[in-house]
Amino acid sequence: MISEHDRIFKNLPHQKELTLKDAQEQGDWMGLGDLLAQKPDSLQSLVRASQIREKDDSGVIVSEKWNSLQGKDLTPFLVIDASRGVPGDVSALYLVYYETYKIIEGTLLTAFMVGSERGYIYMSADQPHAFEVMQRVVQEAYTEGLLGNNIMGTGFNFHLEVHLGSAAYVKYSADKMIDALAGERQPRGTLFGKPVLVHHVETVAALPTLLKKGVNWFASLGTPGSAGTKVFSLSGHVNRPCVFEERLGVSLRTTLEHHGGGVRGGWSHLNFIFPSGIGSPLLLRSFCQDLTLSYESLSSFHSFLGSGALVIGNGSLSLWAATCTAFSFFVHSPAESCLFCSKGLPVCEQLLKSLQGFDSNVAKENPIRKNLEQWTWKIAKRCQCGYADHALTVVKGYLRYGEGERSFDPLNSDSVNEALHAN
Amino acid sequence: MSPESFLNELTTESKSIVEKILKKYPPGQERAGLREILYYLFPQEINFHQRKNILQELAYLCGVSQRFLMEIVRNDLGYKKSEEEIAYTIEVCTSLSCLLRGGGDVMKACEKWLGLPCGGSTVDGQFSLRQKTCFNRCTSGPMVKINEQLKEELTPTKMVFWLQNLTGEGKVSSSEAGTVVRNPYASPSEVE
Repeated sequence: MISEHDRIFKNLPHQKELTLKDAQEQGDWMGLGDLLAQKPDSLQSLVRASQIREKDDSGVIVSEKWNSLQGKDLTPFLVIDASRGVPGDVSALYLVYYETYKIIEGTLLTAFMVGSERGYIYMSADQPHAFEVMQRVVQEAYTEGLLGNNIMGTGFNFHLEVHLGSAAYVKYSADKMIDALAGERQPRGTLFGKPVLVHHVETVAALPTLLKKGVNWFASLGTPGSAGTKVFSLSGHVNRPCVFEERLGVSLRTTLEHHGGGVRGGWSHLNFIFPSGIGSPLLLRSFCQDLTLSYESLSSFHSFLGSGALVIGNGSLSLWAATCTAFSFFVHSPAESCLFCSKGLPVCEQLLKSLQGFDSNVAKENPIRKNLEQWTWKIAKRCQCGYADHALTVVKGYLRYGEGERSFDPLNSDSVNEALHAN
Repeated sequence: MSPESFLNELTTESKSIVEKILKKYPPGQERAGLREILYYLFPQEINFHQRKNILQELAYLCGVSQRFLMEIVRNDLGYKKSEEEIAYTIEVCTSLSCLLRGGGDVMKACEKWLGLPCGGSTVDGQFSLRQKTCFNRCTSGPMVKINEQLKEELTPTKMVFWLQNLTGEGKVSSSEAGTVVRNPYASPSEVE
């Protein structure tokens, strides 16, 4: 378990609304002048050595993203993704509320390292209060001279703006987010005619502590393939749903018991988990016994850690019902989807729903299953916008593991009748 | 038509806000700031959505159609047409995280108590029941939104209490029915 000393996001367990003074007391924006006095290349080499990963579904190593900027003369735009995630993924929003100052500091340092002069923080329109919190802190940073021209007398200029984006779910693709920010389609990898770099809000917020405490400290927290810590959001059938920070590489079972108070009904009742919100392939209980929360461990089970939004389900909900509910989010809330998404995904939903009823319905020889597999394959191949491929991840996970599941209707419960009779 | 003709239609306060928003983006990329302009102008300007000339000029300035502009207003900013007004709009989150914590039971309780299927409205225009995919408060589920107020960690019993409270059939304090107050996400206007 992570110690208080190693915690990057120190306000996350306390969830207090911070002022600038509080943030400085917990170490934010301290020592920033020393870092900005160094050469960008020397800071970049530290980040490259740390092998820190992007904290979104891609999980790529951050320095590999920066390589795409090499050989381009124009100064890049920096876009920080603080938009809404899939159901279950609330960690970005918690960071916006409780670690706002760290986000600004991390964005400034990232811009310094990659040579950017202008950045945008992308916020969703359905979280207006979070947008206003971020606006206030950015304004405070301008007043304190931490954003704008000649920051801390170093001659470095960086302007950061908070962008109010669409309420639609655009997190699945960086290109889609850039298009949503600009309000129209942009050539791939560019924004307003310049190169663009998109980072998740948690990635940039972790960078200041990494640079201040050093690469060795950072590497000591995780595993060789997954260095550092991660903010997880825990929801579903656990006794205490919460958002917490933990070292990468810890055991799933220990984490659930320590932070979430255990699975409802006990560990033996665990049925499945979604490791990165409902947009990731689910894992069955049999895989979870010795599962560790790291990028390499989950990829060995054909899933991914991604945003670390752990959605836990116990035996009261079948895989089929969970998959149908998860998939309906993608079917009914597409952004600007293409023809294959808008017409094909509802067909897949119908086929998926018709698999209910018999224990052996997901068996490989079942014609409906075969039909669903064909549709899944065809749509994912032909869809150019990338949405269908992302949306069908959950169906593919179900087809892999769902064989022999019993049917269950989540809306048919006796507790409703009890409540009505009681009144 | 020029940006000036649009800005001249606004009050001095709104004008300075809009100018500030437009400066965020490079020249010629005004449409990127459209959503934020609308977010500020709707509460600020009187009868903004009925002033067709101002909407036309804003659409022209940002290079979008007026229809596209009104879609943003309805979908992203939640403004509805006046004829759609209902006294209490109840939105129940039925995404997986809320469903696992009993969102389905809460929805059933609403349906039974109101005598409405999901998606319907009462004849007297008092209640409308909708399902919502996610309020992004998954660690506090099941979530319900009644007009602009978010209520968290609901059970069917608590939900029935709240519905009774709306119609004046029951008098319960918020502590009895559980709910709204725990931050992280409710804005000051949303918290009871």
